[in-house]
Amino acid sequence: MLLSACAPAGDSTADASSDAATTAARRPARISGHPNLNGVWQAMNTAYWNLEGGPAQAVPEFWRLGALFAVPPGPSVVEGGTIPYLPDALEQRNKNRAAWPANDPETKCYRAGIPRSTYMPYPFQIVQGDGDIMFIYEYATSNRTVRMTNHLDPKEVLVDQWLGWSNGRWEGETLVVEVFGQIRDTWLDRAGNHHNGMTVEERYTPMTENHIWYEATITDPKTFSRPWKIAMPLYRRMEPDAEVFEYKCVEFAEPLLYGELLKEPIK
Amino acid sequence: MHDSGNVRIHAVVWFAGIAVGASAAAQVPIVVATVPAEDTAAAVVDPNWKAPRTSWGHPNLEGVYSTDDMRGVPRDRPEDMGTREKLTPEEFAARAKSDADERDRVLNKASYSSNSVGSRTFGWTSQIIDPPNGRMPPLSAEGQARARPVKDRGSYGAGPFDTFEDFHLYDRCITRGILGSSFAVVYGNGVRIAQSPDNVVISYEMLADSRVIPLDERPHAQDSLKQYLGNSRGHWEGDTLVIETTNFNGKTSIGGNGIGVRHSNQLVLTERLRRVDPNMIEYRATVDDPLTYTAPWTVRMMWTTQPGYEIFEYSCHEANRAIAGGLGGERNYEARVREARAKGLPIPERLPSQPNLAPLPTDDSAFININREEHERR
Repeated sequence: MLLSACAPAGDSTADASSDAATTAARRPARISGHPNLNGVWQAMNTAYWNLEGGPAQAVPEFWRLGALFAVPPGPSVVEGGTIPYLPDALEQRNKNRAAWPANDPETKCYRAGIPRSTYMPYPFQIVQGDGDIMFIYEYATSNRTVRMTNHLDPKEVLVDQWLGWSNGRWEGETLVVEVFGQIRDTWLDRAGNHHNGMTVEERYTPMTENHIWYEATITDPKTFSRPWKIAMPLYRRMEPDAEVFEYKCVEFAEPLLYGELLKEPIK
Repeated sequence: MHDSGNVRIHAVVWFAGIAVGASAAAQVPIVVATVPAEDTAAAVVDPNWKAPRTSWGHPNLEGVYSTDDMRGVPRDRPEDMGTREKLTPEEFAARAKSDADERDRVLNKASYSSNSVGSRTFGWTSQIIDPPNGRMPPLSAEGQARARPVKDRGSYGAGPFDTFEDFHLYDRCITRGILGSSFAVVYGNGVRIAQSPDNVVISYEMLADSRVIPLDERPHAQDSLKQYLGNSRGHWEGDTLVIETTNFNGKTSIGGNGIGVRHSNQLVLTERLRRVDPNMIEYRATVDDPLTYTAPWTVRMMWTTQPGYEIFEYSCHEANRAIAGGLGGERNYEARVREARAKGLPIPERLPSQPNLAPLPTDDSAFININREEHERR
C-alpha cells in the first residue's frame, strides 16, 4: 500500500527502525566534529537565469520551442535587489546580455565558475570526510576540491582556474569557503552578469537535515562599487538513490563551436 | 595534434608544477633503486600492518596519487618472460638504471616542455596479471570487427577531418574512459581519492573526469541510463574497496588515453583498491567483456604519492583549439585542391596547415595567467 512507503523514519516496525539505523550509520549527524554536509543538493530558483530576478519572458530566438524554453519568473537573490556595478562594468553587462546566448560560457559548455555552479539547474554532490571536501557538479562534469588544510595564499596561486581555488574552514556550524584565482571569462548567470577577477566568500549553513542556507559574497573592485551578497536555500535531492550523473555537454556545444568548419557546414 | 592553445595550457601547468615542487635551479639528486618498490610496501614488510582508518572506521584511501611510477612497467608482458610476474635482479637493475636516467633527463636537463616522471621503480614484468602470460587476451570476432573504428581518426589517425566526430573523445576533451584515465601516459597521471561514510570519489587529473561511487548497496542505475564512465557501485570487502561498474555507453576504448579497442556496452569492470602503504594504493581492474575479448583480463597498478604533486584543474575543452584547427586545416586543403584542379596545377601535398584556425584572442583574457605580477597588481 502506497501509504506505508511514506511512513516516517523511526516508525516502530523492525524493518523501518533497522533502515533508520543504517541510514544513521551512513549519514552521521557530524563528521570529525563538524556538520555533515554530504549529499546531492540543488538550488530551486531562477538565479541561473538572472541573479536580479524578473518577470516571465519569451526568448524570441527560440520561438520554435514555444513554452518549452522561456525565462521563468522569480525574485532577485541579490541582497538589496540589484548588483552594485561600476558604470563601465554595467555597460559590459548590458553588452553581454545583448550577445546572449552566443557569448554565454554556458552555451559553449565552459565550466561555470563559483558561485554560478551552485545554482545551475543541475544537482551537485558534496563529498565530505575527515579532510578536504570535494564538490562534484553535474553540469559539465566539473569538480573542485576545497582545501580544509594546507590553505593556499591567494598571492601564491600561479594559475587561475575556471572554478578557482578554494580554502575552507568551519565557523561553528557554517562551512566557509574562500574562492580566489578564478578565470575572468566566467559569467554569473544567463543575463550577462560578470566579473573581472572576483573573490567569493561562500557560506554553507545546514538549517535542517535536508536544506542548507547558501550565501556568497562577491568582491571585485574592478567591477563593483562594493562587495555584494547573494543568498538562497539549497535542497537535498530526496530520491533514495539520488546521484550526480554525467552531463558531458561538450558534444552538445560542438555543432555551435565548430559547425562552420565541417565538411557539410552547419550554419 | 593539440595545437598551441592546448600546448600552452599543458606547458603552463607543468611549469607551475615545477615552481610548486622544487626550485628549478637546484639539481634533483637521482637515486637508482636497488629494491623493487612493491617489496617496500608497509603491508609487505609487515604482514600485520593495518591501513589507517577514517573517523567512521573505513580504511582510509584519501589522497592525491599518480600512476607515474607505472611508466616503467609495460602493460603487456614480453612474451619471452612467460608467466613470470617479477623481473630478475639483472632485469630490475637495468630498469632501475633506465628509470634513473629518465628522471635525471627530465628533472635536471630537460626544458619545461618535458614529460612527467615517477620516483620509484617497480619490479613487475607487466601490468596485466591475468591471464597468467600477462598479455591482453585475443579479441573475439566481434571485438576484431570493432577494432578498427570508422571514427576516432583524430590525432592518432590521418583524417580526413570532416566533422568533430572524426576526432577522438580525448581530442574533444570529452573523456578517456576509466582505464584510459588510469594507464600512465606522458603527463597528467594524477588521481585524487576522497571519501565520505557513504561515497568514494575517484577524480582523474587529465580531463578532470570524476566518479562518485555510492557504498550503500543500491542497485545500478536503470539499464537505459548509459554513461561514458558507466555507473559505479562500491562496497568494502575487508580492507579492499570493490567497485563494480556497468551501464557503459560503449563509446570508449581501453588503452592509454582511451586510445585502443572500443569495448562493448556490456562491459563489466570490477576494480579493487587497497592501501598497502602510507604512499601506495594497489589498484586492480578486471575487464569482463565477452563481446570484445575471448577471456576476462586483469590489470594491476600501484597508485603512489609523488613529492610535491599538485592536481590543477584540467580545463581542456575551454582552451581546445585542436578541433577547430584540424577541421579548418582540412577545409583549407580542400579549397587548395579545388583551386589547383581549376587551374590545372598539380594537386598540393596535404600538410598540416591551419590558416583557417579561429583567431586566437589577442588579449590575455582567454588564457590562464601565470604572472605573479598580474596577481599583485589586482
